[in-house]
Amino acid sequence: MLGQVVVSGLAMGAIYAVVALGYAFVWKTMSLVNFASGNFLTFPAFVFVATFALYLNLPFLLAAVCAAVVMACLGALFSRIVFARLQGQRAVVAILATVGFGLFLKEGARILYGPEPLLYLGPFGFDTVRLGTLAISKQQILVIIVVSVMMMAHLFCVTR
Amino acid sequence: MIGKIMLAVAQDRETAALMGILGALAGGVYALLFGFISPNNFLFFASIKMLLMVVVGGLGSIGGTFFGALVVVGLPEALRDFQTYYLALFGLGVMIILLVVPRGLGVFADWILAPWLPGGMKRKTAERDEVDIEEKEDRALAAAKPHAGTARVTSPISSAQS
Repeated sequence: MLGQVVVSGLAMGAIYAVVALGYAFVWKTMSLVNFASGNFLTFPAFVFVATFALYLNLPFLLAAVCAAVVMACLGALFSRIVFARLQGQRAVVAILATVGFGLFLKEGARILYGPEPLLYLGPFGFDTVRLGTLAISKQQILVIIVVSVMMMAHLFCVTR
Repeated sequence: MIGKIMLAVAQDRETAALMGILGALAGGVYALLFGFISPNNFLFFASIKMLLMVVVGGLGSIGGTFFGALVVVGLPEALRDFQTYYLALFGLGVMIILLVVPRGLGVFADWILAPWLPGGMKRKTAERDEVDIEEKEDRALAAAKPHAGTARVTSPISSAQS
């Protein structure tokens, strides 16, 4: 039972770690704290699930790549237009501007995709791998692997 | 930056105490006015809004804070007609204001209020001086040169700058 909880916690923690990675990356490269980070997580999730996976009915991998490309473009645009201008400003100004943008993203997701929560089962559905007494879902394994690779890439990018 | 601010507060006991006093005063007056308090009265968003009033207005500007409050309270009301879009537009509007006038709307308010503020006009000229401070420095250096070499030119200027 404890092992089960630990595995689930690891998968969930890996997702939080990506958010933290986002903070760290923005801080390291632009010396800003991005208070819209949570919304930067939510909005692409909606873009991925609602637009690419459910509306356009793309297969998982293609939908993921499309969402990543679209969000990378939007992120680059945002960093050029907003972050670059906030860099020389006071910390409070940067914080509040990002909070304002977070509000915009959150409301934007609600306006575009509606307030109802969406259901998406991922590529593996509820498939699990049995490891002794543990039942680890394939989704969790995928999450942990992807996040580990991202961490390595981040480490390489920032400390190079 | 934030660490520096905290350090400043730690070193300036009076400011820190004043902040506590003002907060307590606001809380007491609030309780008197509404006759009802609860721990949920001021949510995180409320503190963000109040911070927003000050920052949109311009830090350290009293007239600007008035403008800031006007924007933070008035903007959602003005956008009320947009129904579902209004919070999104509010967030975007706040960001745009902060990007376009990062020093706050107090720039206008201070300009209007300058004749009535203590030292208001003087502060305006000081700000103007800040722009061509380098030019002045050069002139001062040039003026100081013929005199004795002991004259410290930089100290009065740097104190005037701050």
